[in-house]
Amino acid sequence: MKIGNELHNAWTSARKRTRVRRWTRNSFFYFVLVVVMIILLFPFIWMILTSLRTQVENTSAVPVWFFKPTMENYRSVLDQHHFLSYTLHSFIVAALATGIGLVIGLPAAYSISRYKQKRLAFAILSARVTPYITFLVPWFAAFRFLHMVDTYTALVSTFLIVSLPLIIWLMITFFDDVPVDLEEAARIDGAGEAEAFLKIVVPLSTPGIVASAILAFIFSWNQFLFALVLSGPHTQTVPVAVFNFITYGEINYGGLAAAAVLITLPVVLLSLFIQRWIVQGLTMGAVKG
Amino acid sequence: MTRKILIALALSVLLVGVSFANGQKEATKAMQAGTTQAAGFNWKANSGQTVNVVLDSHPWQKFIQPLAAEFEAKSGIHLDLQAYPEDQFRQKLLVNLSAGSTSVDSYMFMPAQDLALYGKNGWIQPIDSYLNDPSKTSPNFDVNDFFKGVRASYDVNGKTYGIPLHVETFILFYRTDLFKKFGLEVPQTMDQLKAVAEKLKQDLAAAGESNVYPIAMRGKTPDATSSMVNFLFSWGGTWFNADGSSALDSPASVQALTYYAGLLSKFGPPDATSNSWQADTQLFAQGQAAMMYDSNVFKAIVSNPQSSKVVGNVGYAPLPAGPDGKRHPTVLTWGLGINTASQHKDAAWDFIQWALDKQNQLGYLQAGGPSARASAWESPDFLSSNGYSKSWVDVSNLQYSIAKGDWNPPIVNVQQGRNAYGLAIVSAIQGNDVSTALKDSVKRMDQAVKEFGR
Amino acid sequence: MRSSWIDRNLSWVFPLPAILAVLLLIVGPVIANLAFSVQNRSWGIFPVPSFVGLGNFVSAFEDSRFWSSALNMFYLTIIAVPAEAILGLALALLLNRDFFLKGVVRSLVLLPMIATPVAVALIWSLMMNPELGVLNYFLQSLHLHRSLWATSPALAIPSIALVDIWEWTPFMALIMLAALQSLSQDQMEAAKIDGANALQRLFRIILPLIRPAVVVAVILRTIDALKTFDIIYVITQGGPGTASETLNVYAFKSSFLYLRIGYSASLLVILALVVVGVAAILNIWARGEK
Repeated sequence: MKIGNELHNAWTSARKRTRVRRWTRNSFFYFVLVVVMIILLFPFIWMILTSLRTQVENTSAVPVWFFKPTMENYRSVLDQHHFLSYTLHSFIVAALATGIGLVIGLPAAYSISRYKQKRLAFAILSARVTPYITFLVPWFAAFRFLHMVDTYTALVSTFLIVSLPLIIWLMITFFDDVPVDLEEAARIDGAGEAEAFLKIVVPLSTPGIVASAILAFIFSWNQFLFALVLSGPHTQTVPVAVFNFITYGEINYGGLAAAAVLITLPVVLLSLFIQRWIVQGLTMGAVKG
Repeated sequence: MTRKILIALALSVLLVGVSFANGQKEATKAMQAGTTQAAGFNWKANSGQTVNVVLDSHPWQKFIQPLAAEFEAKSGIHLDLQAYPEDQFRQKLLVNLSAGSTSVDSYMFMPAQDLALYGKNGWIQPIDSYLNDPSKTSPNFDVNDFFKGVRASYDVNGKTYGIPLHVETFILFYRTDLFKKFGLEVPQTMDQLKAVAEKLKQDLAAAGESNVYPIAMRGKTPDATSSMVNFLFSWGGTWFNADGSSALDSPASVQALTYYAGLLSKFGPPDATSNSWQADTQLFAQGQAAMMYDSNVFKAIVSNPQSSKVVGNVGYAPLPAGPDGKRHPTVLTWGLGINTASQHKDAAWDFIQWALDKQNQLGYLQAGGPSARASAWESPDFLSSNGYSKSWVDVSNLQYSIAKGDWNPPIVNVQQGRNAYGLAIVSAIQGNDVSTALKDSVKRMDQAVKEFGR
Repeated sequence: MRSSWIDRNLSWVFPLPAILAVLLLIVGPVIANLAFSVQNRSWGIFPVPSFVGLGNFVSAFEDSRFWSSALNMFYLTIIAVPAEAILGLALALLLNRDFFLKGVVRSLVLLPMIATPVAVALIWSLMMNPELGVLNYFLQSLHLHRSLWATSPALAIPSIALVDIWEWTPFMALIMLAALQSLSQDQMEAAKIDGANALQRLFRIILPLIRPAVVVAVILRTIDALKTFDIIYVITQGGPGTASETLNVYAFKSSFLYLRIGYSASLLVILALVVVGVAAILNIWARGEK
């Protein structure tokens, strides 16, 4: 009996210890997690805080953590003649670059996936290796010659460099995942390869296509270098607009932050919608090598 | 194509709507002041066109931009003003001009910086035909009202390429309250400047204000070149020797740079090599610098209650005298030019006339900007205006009368030249050997001359 | 079975537009760049373009600024990429479990790499402002020295690296996380039974198993780190002086500021060779490891 009691006590206290240990391990984990998330997200938090403070609050030596938020900065950003039109330009160029990237990229990715065209894949993807600036001057010279500077055609063509390899790279792995049997079934039914592609493979890969499209859109939207140089008054995109708040006299911190928030917001929202697919797409490509 | 037109329409409506909202007050004021319409010249001659102007983010731009609606009402021309911070401004302009882009009709430029390059490439339009044609130029424009010396900078080979919008010179700003508190005299020579800075450092530390720097000056490449050149000239240095080689490694140049770099590294902010006028004016206006050496244009910032904490405590002094006992300031000017590829040159000229007319130049002067028109400086309205500072006027005029205009190396590829010098300035401020740094400058400057000429 | 001409020739018809796009937009300009690199030319009609053979390349090798910018490029990469790999691994290990709000956390972790780099870099430069920045405030509260951050020549590249690390660690973390989660339960269990402790498990079993994914991620990131531009342009423009100027940035300035198209093209040729070289070396190393 005594031994039984001792055993029972030992067992109960062992369980208690494990429970306590697990509980502390769990709270330790959550603590670490929260700290890590705060560090990762701090710049965003700071961006939003700064955008809601006045210039005086923003230029104080000690950060003002508690303040009455003001919408004045957002109002001044939106009041700027050109901010909305820059946003529109960004949207148009990114959408076009993505759309054309899909039209050109999907068939190419499919072909590479089905026919195992490794060398072709390598050739297209090696475009990523070259620094973008290498293209800039020759492109500019060409566009000048064709009188196409400050046109959507010029910008979209250059943004394709960003969107096309990305779409192809992602879609190769997504297409790899579509079982060949389905296409073969379709072919037995009398459809040609192209029809099988359009009617079977594409619909089945919609999640992947949507993910690639959104990623391509995001990266086009974020593009800075090309827009900086190649755009003119009629096509100026929005990342460059942020610089307008570094005017003479003072840096309008609040306006800058507000502009930064407005510029980043669309891509952040988009990414939240498709986070699962982004992760899958990016990592699949990497994991499968 | 339809999409483009629709977007352009939507944007135009948006732009005009907002510009009207912004410019309503000014427009009403102007109309009440009464602008005369002269016979032979018609302000509305180019009505309906659109003029695209690329501007540098600058006091003058800040002054003129809200007044756009006034011009639009007067001329019926739609105005699209695009302003960018200096670095992006230069890039945009370069890209657009070299592309022969029709998207730019008029733009701001500095002759000593840009005219050689733009001229040689045919990117800037001579405007003599406009000036001499009474049907194209309003009789009220009075081009001779602009300071003669300044106008001359815009002439090359007998042709005029632009109209100045202001004249600036680098002066010494100082805190009258701090000087009074510590019993300091305004430095008249370079030695005195150094002594004052030294005493300020001690006194400020003793008063517990060691986060106030004795002096703020430019240290950033290439902007620092504009202030350093005054010191170069003060020691008797020049840009080039008689044989055409760069003179930046001369003993005079070494002494000048040693002084400048020493002053800034010992008595300036620790991040001086990252600072240009944007940071320096902010430091001074926020009360964190006891002295500042930069363009007199920035009176507009430091005496503006909205952006400055030191209003009422700002004194102005001329560049201290160099070892030869004389002052050697330089004079700079921004102006407006017309793009040769523009398809609205006449309308662009109308814009320039309006933007730089007597009334607007007076308004600019009253706002603190050093106008390029003599009439503005002499106008009773200016003399009796709010914020009028006799000291600033006197110091500015003193320097204008003795200043030289070659504040940039007289070569075609000015940016390359400015950078050649700028790198040495940064290196010197960081404590490296001045001679070595300047020898590198000479090498780069000579290369710039070799590739692009003078 | 219907089979059109397209169907029979799918393997080259489908990729054709992409191939044309690549030829036009990439191959063409690269060849043009090569042509520019042997000329002395600028933007306009002046100076008149002239053939200078290898003159630009010789100038580059004699140009101290070329060497310093090449060095800076490697310096930045060597600081950033290993840090991203290690921190990414740590983050992946942390997230490799089921927990409350896992989906939300994963979405948030993505944000640094998704957000518009220009906007975020500007905020970072505000935070790193020596006088007014909040980072110095934190340092001060912890009784540490205030830092000059990117305004100091010595700290310019490390400050930029900090921003880069912040931006891309999630990328590394997510790839490693996916690899970790693809490890079978059996393998994990086998490790535990063997009696190895956590650290030994990590190094001896888990790491080798996820190596392929890590290698790919490292190669991708290295290539991109060598090409960093946006962050540098926004925060320091290559300054102070040339302290944070990488070869990329120097080439950009040579073209768009100093108007030396020929010289800039030669710098870009060298840069491309370096990047390709590094990529090739890394690839060989990766394959060798397998």
